[in-house]
Amino acid sequence: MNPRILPLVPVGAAFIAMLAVSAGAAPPTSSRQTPSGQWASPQVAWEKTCARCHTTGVGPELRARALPPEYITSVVRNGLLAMPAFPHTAIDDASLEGVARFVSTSKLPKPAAKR
Amino acid sequence: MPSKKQAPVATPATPADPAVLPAGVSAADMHAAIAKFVAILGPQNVVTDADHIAPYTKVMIAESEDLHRPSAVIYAREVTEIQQILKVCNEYKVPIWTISTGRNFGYGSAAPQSAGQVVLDLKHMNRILEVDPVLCTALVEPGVTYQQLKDYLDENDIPLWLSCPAPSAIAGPLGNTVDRGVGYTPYGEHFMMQCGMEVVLADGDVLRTGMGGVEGTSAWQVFKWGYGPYLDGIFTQSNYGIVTKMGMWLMPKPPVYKPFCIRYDKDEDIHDIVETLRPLRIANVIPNAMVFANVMWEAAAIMPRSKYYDGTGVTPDSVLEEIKAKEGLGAWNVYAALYGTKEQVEVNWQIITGAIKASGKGKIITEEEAAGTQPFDYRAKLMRGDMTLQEFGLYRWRGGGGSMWFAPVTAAKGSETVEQTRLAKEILGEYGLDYVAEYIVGMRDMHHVVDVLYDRSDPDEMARAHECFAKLLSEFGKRGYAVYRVNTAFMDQAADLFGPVKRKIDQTLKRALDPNGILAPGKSGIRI
Ligand SMILES: Cc1cc2nc3c(=O)[nH]c(=O)nc-3n(C[C@H](O)[C@H](O)[C@H](O)COP(=O)(O)OP(=O)(O)OC[C@H]3O[C@@H](n4cnc5c(N)ncnc54)[C@H](O)[C@@H]3O)c2cc1C
Ligand code: HEC
Repeated sequence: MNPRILPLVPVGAAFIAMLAVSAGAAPPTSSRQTPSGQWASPQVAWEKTCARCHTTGVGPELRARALPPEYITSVVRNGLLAMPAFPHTAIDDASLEGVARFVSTSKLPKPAAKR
Repeated sequence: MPSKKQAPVATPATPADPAVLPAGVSAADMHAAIAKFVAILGPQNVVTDADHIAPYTKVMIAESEDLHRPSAVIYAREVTEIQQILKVCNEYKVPIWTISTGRNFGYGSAAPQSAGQVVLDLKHMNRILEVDPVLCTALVEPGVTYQQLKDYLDENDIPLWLSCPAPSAIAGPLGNTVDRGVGYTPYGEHFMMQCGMEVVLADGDVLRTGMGGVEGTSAWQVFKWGYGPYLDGIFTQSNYGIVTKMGMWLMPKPPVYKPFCIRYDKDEDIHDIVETLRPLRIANVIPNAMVFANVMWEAAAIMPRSKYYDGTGVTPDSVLEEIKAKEGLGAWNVYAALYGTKEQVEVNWQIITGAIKASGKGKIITEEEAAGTQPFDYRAKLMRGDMTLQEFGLYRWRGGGGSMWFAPVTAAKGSETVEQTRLAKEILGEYGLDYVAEYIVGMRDMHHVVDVLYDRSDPDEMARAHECFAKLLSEFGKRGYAVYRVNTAFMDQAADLFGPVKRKIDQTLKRALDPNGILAPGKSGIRI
């Protein structure tokens, strides 16, 4: 292994061992991933985008508020002040409708049992 | 308005004539160009309606959306489609503004530099073409997000780390790198870690940079320079081509990762922070793009300022003192990390703690001591290239969704940070705006990143923010300081700081490579 390609990281023996393990296991060149804007499920879209802001205090809590789905989709497409807008290529209409229904009917997770 | 129920499969109608036209293009020519786009891409990939255009119009910069409203948005999936689109653009002189993942928040977002440009959204070109776990390289298309690449590495059990900007999950490596963005790992200077590009030129030629033109090469993603003039640089922060593939280097996951924070109490400590840590950075004892974040940047990640202050204008110093005391934040907060074997990390940790002790100031906080609290937690994620959007908390600090990054380059000397910090604070204060800032440390420079936050729903504050930004640029310019990157409202003013000869050469290249000026006119102040 030539450290030339790792100019900023000291290459120790453990690195080399680690890389050697994966050396034979090059994954096949990937074909197109999920078409852009489509998500495996509304929940995945929620977790990988919305929840990173809406369950961390960055944006307001949306769960258990029974927000109208039309309102949710409109905020997502247009953005709202600090909330960025999401184009169809980031989340398509079908996925967004799924997320809107999911959020609209969601409940807050049960708080962890207090001791 | 979004439809309630899924409509029965309907062939999308031919798009309506756009509501806005690009400068100098007649309605008839635009109509003809749109018809040709439809013939190339199909009607579903050429949109002009308000619902589809809206997300590309939302900006955070202090200018009316009308100045940046696109006429249409088109989606391409193949290089051949882009070549055909360019032919049409040349024929009708229709300008196009290319975006990859389109998350250029605070620099113009997804909107074009001037109204009427057609946005070419490449988000659908999202193939991860190759990840080589042996050489630790990747080759990606424009639409690939950091989240997608992270998922791919995880799913395939490839022990490589990304380096991403703070909007990680929703942004992408190609767009970020061609705008010369930065991350927080040892690979944080992204363009330095880029290797090989494919670029579609305005005349439809497809260029592969570096080793990419050599038939049968295996070195496209490992040797940056190729032969003869090195070209990759001219396709960053520019409008000379459309980048359709990009190679990048990825960092092997280290056996040990040790993020830490050093808290400093006083504003003036910034001088000693730089003097103490610069030698460690240059010697690679601290290998990553560490940051020095000020109290407001830190506070914004955990709360709105209304928790302590519900007035308007500049946050008073007395309030900041209270926040520091009650929330346990420093005036300046250093975030850095060590990567390597246990032995390497231990040796470097000794050097660092020794240097801090010798300097007589600074309180070190380890990951164990921070115990999962913010802002440490999200900083630790960023320094290992993980996904987080926590930094968007900046926008609830004052509220209103206005933001422009003022990011002058600083030489990594204590005296310079003192002067830049004083000057920025003074100018922002004149306009009633806060100094919310961090220094991101490069190899020998620092990006002094100030988030000019303002309320976009208040026209008066928006006008003040605009004026303030212009003054920041000019006053810094007078003292020999200029920005590493700027938003679409101030590209010409920033370009002027780099002198008339630079502007002339930029234009000479533009005229040679894109004689009709169809690619992103105005980007970095460059037009034909
Ligand atoms: C809270 C917050 C924190 C941020 N932190 C950081 C940070 O740490 N580091 C950082 O760098 N930025 C940061 N940003 C700014 C910005 O959001 C990121 O730089 C983001 O990565 C840029 O968006 P993108 O990756 O989607 O690129 P895009 O928006 O797709 O591209 C950026 C620009 O590059 C050009 N371009 C894009 N694609 C092409 C192409 N195919 N061919 C030619 N030109 C092209 C266009 O001019 C485009 O406007 C931050 C923003 C916010 C709101
Ligand atoms: C980058 C952070 C971020 C992401 C990602 C994000 N939001 Fe938001 N969102 C916000 C913020 C911040 C606000 C509050 C805006 C304001 O008032 O300034 C908000 C507001 C909203 C509102 C209005 C809430 C109200 O009280 O009226 C809705 C609805 C919403 N978001 C839905 C979503 C959905 C659905 C997603 C995912 C597709 C999403 N958001 C993704 C940050 C985010």
